Amino acid sequence: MRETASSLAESVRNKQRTAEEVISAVLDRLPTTRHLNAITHCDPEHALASARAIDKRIHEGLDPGPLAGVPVAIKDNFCDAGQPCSCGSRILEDYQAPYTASAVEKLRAAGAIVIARTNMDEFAMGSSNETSAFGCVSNPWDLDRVPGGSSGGSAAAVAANLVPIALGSSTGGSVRQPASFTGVVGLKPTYGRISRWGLVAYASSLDVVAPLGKTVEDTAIALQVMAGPDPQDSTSIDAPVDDFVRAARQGVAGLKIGILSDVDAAGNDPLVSQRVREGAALLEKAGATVQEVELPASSHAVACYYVLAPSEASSNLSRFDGIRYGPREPAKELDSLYTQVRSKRFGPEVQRRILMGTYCLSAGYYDAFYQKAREVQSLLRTQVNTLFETVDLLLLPTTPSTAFRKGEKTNNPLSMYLGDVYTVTANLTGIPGISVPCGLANGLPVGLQLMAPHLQEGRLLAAASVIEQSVGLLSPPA
Amino acid sequence: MARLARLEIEDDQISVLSDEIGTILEHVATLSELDTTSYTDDREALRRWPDTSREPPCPDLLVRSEGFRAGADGDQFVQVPTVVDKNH
Repeated sequence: MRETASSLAESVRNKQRTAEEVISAVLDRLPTTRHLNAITHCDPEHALASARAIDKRIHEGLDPGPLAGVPVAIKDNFCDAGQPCSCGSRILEDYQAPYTASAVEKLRAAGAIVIARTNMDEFAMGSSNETSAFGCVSNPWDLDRVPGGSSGGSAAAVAANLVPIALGSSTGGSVRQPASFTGVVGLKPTYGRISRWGLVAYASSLDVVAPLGKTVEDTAIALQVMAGPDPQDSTSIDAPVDDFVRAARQGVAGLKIGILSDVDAAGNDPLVSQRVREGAALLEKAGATVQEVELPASSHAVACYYVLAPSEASSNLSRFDGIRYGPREPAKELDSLYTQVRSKRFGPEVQRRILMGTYCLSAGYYDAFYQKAREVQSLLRTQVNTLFETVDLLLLPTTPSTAFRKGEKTNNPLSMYLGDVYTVTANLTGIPGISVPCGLANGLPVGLQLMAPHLQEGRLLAAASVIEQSVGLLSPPA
Repeated sequence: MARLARLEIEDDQISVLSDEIGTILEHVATLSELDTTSYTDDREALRRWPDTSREPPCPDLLVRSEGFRAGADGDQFVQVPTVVDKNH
């Protein structure tokens, strides 16, 4: 599926081909991407039936929607009625969702066809996809390397041209980081921009639904159809939904862009820094002014994140105890049942984060860890707001390096966590961020990240389009 | 801590996990270096809620509206209760 979602939908709407033909072709191709381990579940009959329904609408002269017949893949932590929803975990391996997530419903209402569910780090806790109970996803650019995480399966599916759009979720960088590692576009919208109804919670004050696309325009369309308030999610925003496709064509003339001063930090791959600097030059050439800026608290963002997210996770995941969720293990009494189920079916990373969260929330350490992290989050938010009084966009790398080898960081969790240094700020402050490919370093994709004030996704898309037009689309070697 | 979290850690894993979590918490403890004396307690905002519900949404809102209500009731383990349940 090398075509973009927009051109594909147009051809279906214009009856150049049927949605059923499009979906049949994707389903035929699916087995050839099996080596990536990006897909955890596919329901061909359901997908074909949905495609026929789109064709029927077109035949009857009804509007099939802006994504008519476009195949999409969704991360395995979105509920879709009657389909499995395992969150990459053994504790939910037999679970079937009883209802459908609002974001998925909106994609379908726009004509999209869900063809598969994608592999992910267990409960979205990971940056490499190595914590999935279903095994690691391979990066289409180099099968020995990770695709990033936690939405690694979605990113790999887009990068491998299986689908032009995929759905992910972001709590600390889970869409921008895999997008950067696989050479696709990943957008983390403003907190509350897209309803989280039906997204299995990891850290509810940070979680957002986030699309990945082959192009900036496709990502803009996906955001367009999913954005908006939802009575089912009290944190969704009742704010006007801009025309994001149009916004993406606005260019950057007159915009002031701040480039984070630690782009060339010692721990960064020098080639990554170089590509990001080249990206900044492209924006300057297109009419933006670029200036160096500082965000002092950002150096503590990872520490802040790894207190708040595990703390919320320890609370959120307490429901998985073998009673409402999770298969029951043999046990003589109730407490033992809880412990058996959780110990046997949660993977090591999830257990580690639950323990960290429990520790940070415990009476003796609450003030020193959780409360302090809340204060630092507030400080970071103040600094970000102040920064956006002087610049329109913030530019920085998405990750300090390109995709790393499988197993390279599994024995050093802190090293893995520190890779999130450039992405967690957007989640901690609720602002939108995007990763767009800005070139290659040693044959691997590099992502350039942009952040904007709350609700200014259009500005992000405009700048990302400028980079995309100059750099071109990246495709992994055949 | 494992018992609180309803987890049972194998004997051979205890020292590995302790080391890993210890290293992470050591890094996290660097937060204490930051001066946050200007921080305003969000529980004040909670008392005003839902009058603040039309402010630009940010992660604060959830905590203001849900977590601190539980926190104010003295239950530190229920940080984000109601909205989380809605997700299922």
